Amino acid sequence: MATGSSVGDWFEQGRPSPRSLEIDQVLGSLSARFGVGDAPPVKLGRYRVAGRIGAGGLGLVYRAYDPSLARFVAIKVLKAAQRPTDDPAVHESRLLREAQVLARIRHPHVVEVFDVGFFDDHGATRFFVAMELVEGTDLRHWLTQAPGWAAIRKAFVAAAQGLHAAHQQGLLHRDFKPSNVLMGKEGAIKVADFGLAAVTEELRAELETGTLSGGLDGVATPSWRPGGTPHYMSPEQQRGEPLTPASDQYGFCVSLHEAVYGHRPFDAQDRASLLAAKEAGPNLVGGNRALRQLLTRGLQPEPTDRFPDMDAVHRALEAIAVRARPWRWVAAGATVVTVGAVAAIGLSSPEAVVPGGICESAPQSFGRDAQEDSPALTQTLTDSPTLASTWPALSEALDGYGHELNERWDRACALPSWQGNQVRRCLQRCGEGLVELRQLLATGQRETLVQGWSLIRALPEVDICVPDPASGDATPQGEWLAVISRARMLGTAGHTTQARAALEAMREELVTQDLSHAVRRIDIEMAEQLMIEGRWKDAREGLEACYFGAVAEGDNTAAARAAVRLVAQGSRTGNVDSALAWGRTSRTRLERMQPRNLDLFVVLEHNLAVTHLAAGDLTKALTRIAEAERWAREPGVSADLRAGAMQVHAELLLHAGRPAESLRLHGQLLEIRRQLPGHDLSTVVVESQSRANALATLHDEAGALAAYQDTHARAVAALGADHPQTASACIALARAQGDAGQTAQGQQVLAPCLRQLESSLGEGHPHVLVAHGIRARLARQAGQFDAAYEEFIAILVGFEQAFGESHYAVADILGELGRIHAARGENELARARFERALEVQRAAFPGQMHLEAAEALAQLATLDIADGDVDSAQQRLDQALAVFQQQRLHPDYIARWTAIRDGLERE
Amino acid sequence: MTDEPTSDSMLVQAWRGGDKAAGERLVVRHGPRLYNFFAGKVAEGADQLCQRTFSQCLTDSGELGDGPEPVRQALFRIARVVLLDHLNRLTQQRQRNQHAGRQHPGEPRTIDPEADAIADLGEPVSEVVASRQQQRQLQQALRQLPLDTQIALELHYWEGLSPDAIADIVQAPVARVRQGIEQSRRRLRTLLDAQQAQEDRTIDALATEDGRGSS
Repeated sequence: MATGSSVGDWFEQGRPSPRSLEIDQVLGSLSARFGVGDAPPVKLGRYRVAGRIGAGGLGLVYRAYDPSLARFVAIKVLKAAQRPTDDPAVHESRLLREAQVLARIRHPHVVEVFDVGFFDDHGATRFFVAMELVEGTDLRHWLTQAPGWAAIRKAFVAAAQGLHAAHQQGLLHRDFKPSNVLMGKEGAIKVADFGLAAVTEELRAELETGTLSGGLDGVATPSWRPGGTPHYMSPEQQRGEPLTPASDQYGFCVSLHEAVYGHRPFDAQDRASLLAAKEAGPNLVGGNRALRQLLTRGLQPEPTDRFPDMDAVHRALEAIAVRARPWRWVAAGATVVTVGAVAAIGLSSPEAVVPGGICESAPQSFGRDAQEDSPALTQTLTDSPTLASTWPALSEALDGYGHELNERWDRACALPSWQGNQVRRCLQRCGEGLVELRQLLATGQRETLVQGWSLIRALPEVDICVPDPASGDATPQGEWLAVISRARMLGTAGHTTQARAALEAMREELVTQDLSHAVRRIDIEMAEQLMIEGRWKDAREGLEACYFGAVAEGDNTAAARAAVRLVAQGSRTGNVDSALAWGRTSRTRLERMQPRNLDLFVVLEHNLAVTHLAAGDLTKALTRIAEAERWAREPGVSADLRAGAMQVHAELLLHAGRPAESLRLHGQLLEIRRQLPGHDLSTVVVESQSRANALATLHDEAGALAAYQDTHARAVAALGADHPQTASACIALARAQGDAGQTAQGQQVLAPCLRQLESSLGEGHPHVLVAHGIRARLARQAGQFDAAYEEFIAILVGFEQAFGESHYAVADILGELGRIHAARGENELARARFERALEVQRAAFPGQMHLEAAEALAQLATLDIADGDVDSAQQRLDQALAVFQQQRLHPDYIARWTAIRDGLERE
Repeated sequence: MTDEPTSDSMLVQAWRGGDKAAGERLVVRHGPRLYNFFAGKVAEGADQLCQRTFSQCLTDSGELGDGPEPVRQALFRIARVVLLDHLNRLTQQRQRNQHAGRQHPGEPRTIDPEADAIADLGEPVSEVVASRQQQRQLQQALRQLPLDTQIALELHYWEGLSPDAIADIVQAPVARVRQGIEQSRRRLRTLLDAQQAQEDRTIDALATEDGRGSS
């Protein structure tokens, strides 16, 4: 646009397009969440866009489906604005010609290009490249996880092979850098974006403006000089001279330097100084000598002084020993926690466990000293007598575990050295878990201490470290299973980053040994950690990749595990259909698994129950949780899992208006708890509150009040007054006090706890809404009808919006409103509310009389009596009483209604 | 029927009451403008920010406010807060990364939308939304302006919103908004002219370089 145009003209010309491929795809996902979700599929030529993988300075990358070849591909969409000097037709055909050349390379370490071309994006011409879909990360991100030298070497050898293959076809990359090397989840290593830098001039400009960071000015400048990222760019490319394969070699060596030393070899404040530094040549110090020599040669300013080709670089790289001492990790202090733990327990590194068959003595303390000296822990135990009383048993269990490890360690001395080595590497992993757990406990955090038993039970089973004569793997199964257990333990304690670091370190070792089934197990655990972190999308992608990879390789066990977790993923993200579909897949896979894994059946059925519950189908949820409990009762299933299934079952029975059955389950649950060696205080609070709920629903007012008082006392003692679970116990107590006629006390108890809950969960949280309901109920019981009425109306609106108009929770509120009307003598209004409540209950539980529906009937009967309609009252009371008796409500409560019924008879 | 819910406000009411068809119409009507609002200011995640904006609009039970088009106004008001929140998080995250390992990272910095420009925040911005050169150039210039000024100009020119509506969106007095639009027009002019002049020069230079031939 000409200099001097008005600002208004600029805005007119620069108005963003109201439609584009990207906008269509965003509208699709908005529609799925907020609308009816039937937006037509977004298409790009014959491809159907199925989501976006990434966005950046270069363009947008989509995941798309190619129906003609029935496969998923990655599609990169680039701008293709012409330079003003070009004739558009000539420009397009030249681009196409150049781009089609890219599709020529076929190599295991090069991302395959399937298709290139232009498409019309709502009036704007754009350029696309459809290519092989590689799910995973890129080398740049991968390097941030501090991989070991063996893994770095493997990645760069693969990249060197990919570059060499392309060079042999006469193609240059022109923009080699870590972010252009894709690291597939299954271990694939592929160079991407070959020659794309040459494809559009526009793209070149962006390479310069969009990717600068760190040392250079960082601000986007609209300069249009030859492309490439300046840091990785060879000096000849920066000067705009013709390029050769040696230019790619330069970028490769800058990347390798960065991977090894943690920084790039040349840095400067501006382009000119950067070029000057490159032209002066490298001056490397430290590190492995052979590697230093390789880098020095590859980074020579004169292309002819570098290696003759990438094959020579590859050979030089392979000649450097795998066991070359790491320097980057030590120097950068990027040691992951496992290394620290090894140091803490005085173990040597894995490679050196058994030097020449000499049996070293076992580590004795497993970090006990550090834990005993912890002032934070001592302080917490001093503050909380409850925690202090449970501590000795916990501590003893930890010591017992450490003792077991020591004993097995000694016994491994009698084994042949290679077997002893295997066993002790495995024991060492277990020991690392123990040390980590002790360190966690030493922080003295209540949250960690109250779930101490869960954490101890999550420690690796020592039995996995039996010698395995069949396994010739350098990393035997026990070792990576131990790492998985440790990661779960860390995840349970909320330390997911630490968990993922441990998994990542293990994965890296497994990848270099091509143990793909083990890698997949690690990936599944990684996804589990992502789910704990709430990174649902990442978890799904990881799990799907695992699933399909496992199916392709006939690894049914991994496929089953991934599928079961995909059910949870779908259910937690509200994607019910997907969750149910994965449920069917899981079941097929689990049936085929040999030997059967009962734990997984329990988890699957539990996940399905939660899915149905989220979809509002309580009946199906109950069927599934009953099935979970059935599996959980089989011998061999862990007691924690069994107790968990029973607790959820009991809770769902309560929702379904079957309190007596719920209470019976709680009785059995208490029995299991008594048999377990120890249980978490937080679990006890949850279970005890759920049991109190059952008593309250049975109208055992005195029993419920005592149970709520007990729960609340336990919660305060174990979790502290500030814990949200304590607040929720306190609110339940207030409700019970109201029901027992102690309304004023109830209101007094409730107020501070409600404030606490609101501040910790936020005002719109469902638990907070429920608490408001209890406040209103207390107000009703205290005769403050106006306040109660207003509050219930607000909750009604909230529930209807959150759950839909015919959800059973809505019926509860309608019943409360009916009681207020009745108390005010507004019988017609009361009747309308109860009848609506009844209707909702019937819709929610078709074909059965729900307990709450029976309660509504009884209320309607009292209205009938007031209106003189004895027949109707009798009929309704008979129905209600039948349900009360069937559900075995408290005798006093039944007697109360029976007396009313009998009174009618006498009239 | 005359009161078929077609006005934005009625659609929002129906939508909040669970009518997904109403939600669909709101998405189609306002989705693109929200996307463009975010896409010109962040490199990644414009789609997520759209989701967040709609989600807040759905759960926000409050009144929509005055003005001839209360829904569009409300959406932009929410969008601006969502954007600020997102930018604050990015900035603080980067601050943490920079200070990792040091003892005193200092107070987390929050963005001042009346003073800070997107260009100052150091976040890379995607230019993929701009398919035309004019769009790209204008975007680059807009990003040099304080964020609220950028927003005010865009809403003024592209959405045709009144100064009153814009004042409500950026939470500033109307007089200041009017004055801001006037002053920033001049500043934008200067930025655009300077940019144009530089591009003309570099295109000439590139044509010469290409004349030498490259591989």
